[in-house]
Amino acid sequence: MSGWLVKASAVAALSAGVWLLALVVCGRLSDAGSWASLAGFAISGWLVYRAELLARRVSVMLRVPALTRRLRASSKNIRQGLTNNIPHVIADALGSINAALESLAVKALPAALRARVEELEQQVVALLAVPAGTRSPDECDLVRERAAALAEALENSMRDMQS
Amino acid sequence: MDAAPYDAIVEKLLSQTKNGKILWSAASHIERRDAVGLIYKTEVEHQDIVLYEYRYKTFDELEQPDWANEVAVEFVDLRNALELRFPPTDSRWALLREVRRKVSGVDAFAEKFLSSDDDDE
Repeated sequence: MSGWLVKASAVAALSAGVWLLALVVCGRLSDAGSWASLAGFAISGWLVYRAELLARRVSVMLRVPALTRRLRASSKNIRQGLTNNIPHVIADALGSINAALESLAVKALPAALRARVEELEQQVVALLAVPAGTRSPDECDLVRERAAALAEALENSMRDMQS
Repeated sequence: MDAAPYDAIVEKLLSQTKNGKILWSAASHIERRDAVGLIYKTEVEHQDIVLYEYRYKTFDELEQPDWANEVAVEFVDLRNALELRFPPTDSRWALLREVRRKVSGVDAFAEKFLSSDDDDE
């Protein structure tokens, strides 16, 4: 749906450009009807673009409850893995956080949240690259804290978007 | 920290437990949170080692809690305080099963019980 809207938006913008070029070539720049149709193209393109943005936001809002639960669960599992010294529990939780972040449509998020998501994603990917059993407990604990904090921030942000 | 030495240690504990070179005993005075069943203790090379099953809480993707079980192999000091817990090794469950079998005395029980006459009625 989202991809379709992006294509439709691009086609509308391209059509408006072609139409403008046609007006110039045919010397019809002074024709009010031609300008009205051009404006129609532009407005429809803009509307499609806004609809696409809205669709993305709605998609994120629908997914956020499941994502925040997953982030919180993974955060708790990292704590269990650290407390009990079970590397595979930590690895599974990191993988789960990574999958959750990847499934998030980052572009649809507010800029501040986007930066946090990207930063956390980089930390998780870096930790996943380290062999299990040799990961720094402090870094794992930091990811645990940030995943829980991000879950809360996502929920707050979604509440703001809904209100 | 490489996991390899832990695997080798637990593997050797298992083989020496099987052939009777290492003897374990139930240590009812040792307390561990969330331990499942008995806690076992032995001494190898002047190092006290504790072995037990425990359970820990996990959370699924819907944040629903559940329990999972693990085996702890620990170095402890003279007061049984934790010095080091091994990360999970391949042979940990086999070692626990073997120690439970030995300490429970099920082999001696079976030998005696199964060889005795059936004196029902």
